[in-house]
Amino acid sequence: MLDSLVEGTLLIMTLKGVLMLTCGVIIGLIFGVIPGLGGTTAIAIFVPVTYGMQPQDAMALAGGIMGAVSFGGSITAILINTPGTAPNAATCFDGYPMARQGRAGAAIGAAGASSSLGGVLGILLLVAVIPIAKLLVLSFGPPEFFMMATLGLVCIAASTGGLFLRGLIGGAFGLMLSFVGFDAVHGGERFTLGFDALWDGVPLVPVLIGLFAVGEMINLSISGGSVMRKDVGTKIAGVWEGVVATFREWPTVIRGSAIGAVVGAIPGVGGTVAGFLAYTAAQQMSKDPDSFGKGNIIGVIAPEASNNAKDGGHLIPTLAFGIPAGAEMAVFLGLMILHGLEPGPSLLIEHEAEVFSLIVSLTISCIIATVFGLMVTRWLALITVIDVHILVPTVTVLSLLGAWVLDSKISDVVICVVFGILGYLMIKFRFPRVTIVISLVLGDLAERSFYQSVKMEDTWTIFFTRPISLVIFMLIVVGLLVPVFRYLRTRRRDAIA
Amino acid sequence: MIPTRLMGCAAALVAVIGFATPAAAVYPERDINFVIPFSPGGGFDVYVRLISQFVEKHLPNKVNVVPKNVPGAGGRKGLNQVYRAKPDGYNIVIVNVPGAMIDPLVGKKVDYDLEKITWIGRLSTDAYLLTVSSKSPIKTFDDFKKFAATNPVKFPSTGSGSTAHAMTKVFIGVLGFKGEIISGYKGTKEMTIGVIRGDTPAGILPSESTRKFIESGDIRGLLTTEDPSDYPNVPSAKSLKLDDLDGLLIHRLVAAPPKLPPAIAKTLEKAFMDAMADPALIAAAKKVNRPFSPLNAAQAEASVKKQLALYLRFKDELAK
Repeated sequence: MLDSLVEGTLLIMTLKGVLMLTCGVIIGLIFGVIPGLGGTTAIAIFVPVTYGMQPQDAMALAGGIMGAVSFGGSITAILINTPGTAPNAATCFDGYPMARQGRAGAAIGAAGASSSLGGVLGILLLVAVIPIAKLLVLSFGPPEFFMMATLGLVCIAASTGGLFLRGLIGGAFGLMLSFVGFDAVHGGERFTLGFDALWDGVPLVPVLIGLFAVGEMINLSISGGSVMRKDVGTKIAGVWEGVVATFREWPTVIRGSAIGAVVGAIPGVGGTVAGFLAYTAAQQMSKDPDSFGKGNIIGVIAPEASNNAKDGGHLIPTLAFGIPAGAEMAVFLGLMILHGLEPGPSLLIEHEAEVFSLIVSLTISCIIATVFGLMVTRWLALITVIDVHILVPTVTVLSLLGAWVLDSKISDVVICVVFGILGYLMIKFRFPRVTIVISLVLGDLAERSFYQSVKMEDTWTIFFTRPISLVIFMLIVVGLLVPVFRYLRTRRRDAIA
Repeated sequence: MIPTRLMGCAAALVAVIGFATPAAAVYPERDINFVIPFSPGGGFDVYVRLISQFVEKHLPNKVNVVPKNVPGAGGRKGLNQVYRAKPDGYNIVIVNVPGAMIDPLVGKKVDYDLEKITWIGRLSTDAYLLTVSSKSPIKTFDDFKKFAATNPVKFPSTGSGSTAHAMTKVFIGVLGFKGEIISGYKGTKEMTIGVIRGDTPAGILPSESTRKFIESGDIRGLLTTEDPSDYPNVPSAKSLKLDDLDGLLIHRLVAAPPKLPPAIAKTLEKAFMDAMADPALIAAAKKVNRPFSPLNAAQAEASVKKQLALYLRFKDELAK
């Protein structure tokens, strides 16, 4: 394995390899920053470009993109409360309040540092589990998927920012949305209201852009001013403060990365859920859970560490089985096949060097993306002081373009606008928007895997007779009980005092 | 402003006339759009991107063959688009049979009619396999028959209306045992892993996604629809006297809009056939493990007719 590591490194340490890697990082940052565009779109657009390249150069390009994209997305999440890519959704919770308080620099610094650390930790885990990757992937069947989806849904409770009932209403609405479209179980379409555009379901990315970016822009244009509140002044600094804070909060980084890598390794669950889980875990472990959602830097560090670590996790099922763990990996898989690197049991034996050149590119990319990003942070953070007359039209155009570009469907733009209006109303009436996203992501997985599990052995006890499924179930129970105990304890303490 | 615009119009008009007149003389005169009705990276995408530059090489004039992904509605969007395009030879499409054939049979709205489309040829095929996990006690097709005689056999599927679902139903129908389908798998790859994991006792899977797992010993093939069999230990349906399953393959065909002038169709057909015989393409295809199995236009059309007849036999089952 060590020779392959050296060989893989040498393969990309050519002028062309380094050039490709750098291009990938820049592309990844840009595609990450623009809402709606993400790693999936970036790799899809550049697949044809790699046709004439050597496999290792293509891997360097793809690795560069993958390593950089989620840090790019965090910048948008922090500055304009819009996740640049779906996995950055949880970063908005505390990143945006920090920006409003004039601490955008510190938030981006923390996001950058935790992205790098998380990315590298995720890759270390990937390298460590490659020998047992097959076992890991095979131990997750439909009952385990159902329990994972339920665990993700439980996160809604922690993502309501104190507005519990409103959060649950949002979550329930998201679940309803997730059932729109072609029914994967029994066939036939549901709740499509006669629109062909809804046959494939309510698309996540346009909803996300609508709820966050468009909704936020409507809100800003009505309230006027700029993202950063006038009273906090316009000094943008503190990048180092964020970086230092990340290293100080190393347990959060390690926990976030571990969650990201493990959840990332499970196909179909993905980085968005990993981000929420990491955020929830950080909040639950915190001594001061009430400070979350109000600009606590740990709320940026945890999801950012996890959403970069997820790439390492994502690669486990992709490389070992050729099962993409998410949309980005599905496109990447196509790229690999195009270059004769057929993922599957034999890949690591036949193409070990190329696999390691991917791993090395991804590692380097995680680090240089942060360095690049942090170099320009001072200028990026100026976005928060731009007047709404300039910011709103620009972001709105980019957002609608982002909604359109993925499938070039005008219906996606319409959906984006509809959810933009909904997003604004939710801001106005203080409904947490993110709970819709969590259940929209997980509803379909929960439904399908529940049906499959029950059908597999024609009994519902299957969820409790399989060890991994049972363990996740216990995590769900613990996750639900911890806040109750905490509440009871504070009440008792208050009563004594 | 106005004069400029007028001049622009005039220039465009001249250009159109200029193009129109000699176009009849020598095809092709401009770039050819090769539509892939699926996202980049899939099997269809790989085949189109592999062959495009070789088709360019074998066309009489130097033009580009431009792969263009038009994904949506399970492949129907791109196919509909080319079907309705002008039959001038500048729009061609890669067609998934039986996918494109099953969609209208299960009641999905399509604009195309595969009996009217102009077939250019076939690029490749892929067989279906009856598979079980290698941990399964079922070792041979005979074992499977015994198992199926006493138990209803569960199969994975991506969902009602999909090709995977339809193929599984055809298998169950032809073999005549009691089968049950568990839907909801995201794709063929997830179905394959489901079979290895033991979610279901058996699965009907395409050879392309199963091959590496048969070679690695994770999956056992019990029969293949291709004759002669491509695997040393997997008997063909024909050798097991299951003639209805013989030749039940996934085909990747190239087609153009209906009523394409025969001269243009011949030029395209020849370019594709020559490209597939080009040793450089054969070598490139071997490198990425995507072999071609060419059929000319007439053979492709005949093969489509034969399959359509089979699916029509199971029409009522498929629509359920």
